[in-house]
Amino acid sequence: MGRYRYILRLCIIIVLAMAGFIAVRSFLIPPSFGLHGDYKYMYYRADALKEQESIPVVYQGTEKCADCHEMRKYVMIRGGHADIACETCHGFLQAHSEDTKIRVPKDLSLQLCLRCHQYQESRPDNIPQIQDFNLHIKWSLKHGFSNPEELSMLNEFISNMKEFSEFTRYYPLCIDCHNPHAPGNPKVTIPHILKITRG
Amino acid sequence: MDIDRRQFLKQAGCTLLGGGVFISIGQFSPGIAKASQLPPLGTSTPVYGFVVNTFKCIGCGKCVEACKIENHVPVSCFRTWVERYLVTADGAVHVDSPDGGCNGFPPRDVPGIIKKAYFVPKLCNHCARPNCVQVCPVGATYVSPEGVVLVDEQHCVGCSYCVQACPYGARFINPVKKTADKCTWCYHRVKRGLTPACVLVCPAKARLFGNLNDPDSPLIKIFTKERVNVLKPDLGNEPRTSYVGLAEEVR
Amino acid sequence: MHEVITQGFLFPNEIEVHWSLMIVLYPYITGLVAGAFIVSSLYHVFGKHELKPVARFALIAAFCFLIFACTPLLFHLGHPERAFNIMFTPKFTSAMSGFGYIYTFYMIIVMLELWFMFRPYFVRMAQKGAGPRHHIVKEGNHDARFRPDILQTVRPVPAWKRALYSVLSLGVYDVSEASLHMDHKIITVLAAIGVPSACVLHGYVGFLFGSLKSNPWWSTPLMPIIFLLSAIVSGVAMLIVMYAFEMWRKGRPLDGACIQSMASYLWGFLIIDVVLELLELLCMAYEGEESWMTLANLISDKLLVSYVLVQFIICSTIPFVLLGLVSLTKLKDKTRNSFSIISAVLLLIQVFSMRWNVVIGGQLFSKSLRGFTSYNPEFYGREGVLVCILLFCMPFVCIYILNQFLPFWEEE
Repeated sequence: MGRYRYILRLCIIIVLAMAGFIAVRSFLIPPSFGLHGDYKYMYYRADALKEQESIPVVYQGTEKCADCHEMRKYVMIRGGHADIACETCHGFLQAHSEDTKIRVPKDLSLQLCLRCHQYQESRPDNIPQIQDFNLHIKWSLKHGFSNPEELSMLNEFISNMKEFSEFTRYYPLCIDCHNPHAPGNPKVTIPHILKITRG
Repeated sequence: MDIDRRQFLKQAGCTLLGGGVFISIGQFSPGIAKASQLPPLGTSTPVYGFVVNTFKCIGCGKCVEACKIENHVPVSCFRTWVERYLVTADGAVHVDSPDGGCNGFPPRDVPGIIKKAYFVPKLCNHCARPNCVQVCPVGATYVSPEGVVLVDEQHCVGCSYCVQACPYGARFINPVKKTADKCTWCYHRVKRGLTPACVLVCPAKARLFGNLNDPDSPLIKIFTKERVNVLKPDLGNEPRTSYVGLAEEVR
Repeated sequence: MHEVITQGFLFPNEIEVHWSLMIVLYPYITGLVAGAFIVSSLYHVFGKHELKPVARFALIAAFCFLIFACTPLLFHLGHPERAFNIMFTPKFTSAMSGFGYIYTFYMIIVMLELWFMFRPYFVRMAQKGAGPRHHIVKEGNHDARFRPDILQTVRPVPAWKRALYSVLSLGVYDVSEASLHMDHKIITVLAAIGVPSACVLHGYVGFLFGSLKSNPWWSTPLMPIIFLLSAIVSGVAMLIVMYAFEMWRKGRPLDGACIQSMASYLWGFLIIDVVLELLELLCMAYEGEESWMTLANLISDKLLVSYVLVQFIICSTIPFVLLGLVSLTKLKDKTRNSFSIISAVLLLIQVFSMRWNVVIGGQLFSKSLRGFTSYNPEFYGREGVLVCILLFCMPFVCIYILNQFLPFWEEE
């Protein structure tokens, strides 16, 4: 094969390049990479699973709140909100659970309540929904209050009211009438229905 | 000297046939029976499942918000989202998902009388035979032993093939990490015995997560009591997220 | 982030189009590679001697486009520094995983074929003496001192170039009959292996789209064939254009038989390509599956200009007529050449618009089949129009640079 020396040299170069690539490849493949089951679905780097597992948790869960706040005694969630996680309304409590001096965020706005309770056609019927606030107040009056003095003063107030915004100037928040931890019966929580604290 | 045409065609034919056989070998893996690559039921390794109950969802969007916070999902991307369906009397279907439902749903007016209306939460279906995993060229996405489909962020090159492959729109390219990203069923929470963040914060119990290997799991009861369905069963991905009350309009 | 206009309902993650202009450019460039290589192989393997003038140049063009074929992908990847993962941990159940090894294998084939083709030239140039600049007489006229028109200046080869050629020839200067004969056999074998490799290199891109069951615009078994055929169309068209340009630059006439042959092949491949594309469309329309309503909307609204007008009406019909005239009737040289060149330019546009319509079109509609998004490539930016133009120009720069070291045309 002396005549075809150039072909031989070419072949040597190619073989060396391939060997070099194979050597480099074996260094650069991540060590835990391999087949962990069916090749179509389970060919991956095993360390990635551990990395996924070790991501820190943000939402703590209601059981974590119950560690310190005994639900029946201090927080008393009854009624329709009984099964809802604390963090649904209070936001994630990671900071508070690590350092209890950090206060639990309390979103007192109308918007938080309306997020679930504003009337939408797509919502199922089993959740109480507010479509017309006038009607909502009047219904509450009819069904919620028994103190006649309070009732007549509120009645007068409502009949003079032109728009719901007038009401919300004095009672801007749902929680002025409703206790989010024991929703349903406003009478349970309102100490002074006619006490105008903001205005 | 030209190679004889017949010889050439023979050689080319053999090369193509050989190449075709070689490529096909990877396809005819024994992934034909449902979830066959997972450990058999009754073993100690849990096999997870998820049920979405569209009868219960109230469209508050708290699940979307919680997922974003728990998993640090960037603004325009969604690991989970909620769709609102409004079907009018003339048969027109109006679907929307403002910001994925992250801030709730503002009221919407549609022309016509509304005949049917509901919410459908959506997330990665964690299919048993996911074609998104099949098409990853570098082995960066995979099915974990528990049946959770995950992405290896250190290995993904960001080619977006899996994003194109997913029939449910569950995947996206994370603009911060520049890799593929998707719902992980909060694997980091699940391995610590917690539930995914979206399941935790749902006020209406519209989302359920559990171990299909556990006969006492609420999921097993749902499968026997309710009529459940999966999205796009005809594609053969065998999604392991089931939907109670999946209406005909939902894609 | 450029403005995106949506219409109807899309899944929230579908609003942004992920496979951008770079992914339109990539199959375009690999298509040019496949097409140019097929032309070169038509001469080397199938013995079409009328293509001899362009055979060598076709291979060089294929090589230059091949070098830059992976660059649009590198600009598209989220992590281009991890690009070699495709060769370190390939998952062969994915069509895309073939890219690393198929590309490398094909690159080696083309480089080897080029090397064997130019080996005699390397040897000759390596052995050229370092003498002074001298003149030789081109014609047999002895008193040529005052006749500059028949003198040819021969510049000596600079030392560094001689060293380069010496390395390229691997230090073996054997150009005997027997070794040239062996070289010729090897070139034929390499070209023969190269034809299916080129088909696979471009066919896998078509399979990448065609095998995706989740996208009704892409999912069809015809996709690899359509991609391959339009690749051949673009490659032959590009060769016609480049051949015409090079000959115009050198002031030489075009070889009539060569242009006639290329135009005829172009016509034939164009017909099969367009027929298959229309057949696929016809099948989808006839079957009328659920996705058809959305796709019909896509064609008649979002892709009306790029698909119906540009791809079919302008850039397929006109070349079909012109090339038909060239192939079937006897035209004057000038007419035939200009018809061929006009058709070739239009077909280059047609193939680019076909890639655009497939890649971008498939992402413009939602998988919920309820809505549409939009895509306007930015001008600056990693995946923008400017980068696209620059990357497309790079192979031509490469051809120019290679021309300083290698002769493209037989006469040199």
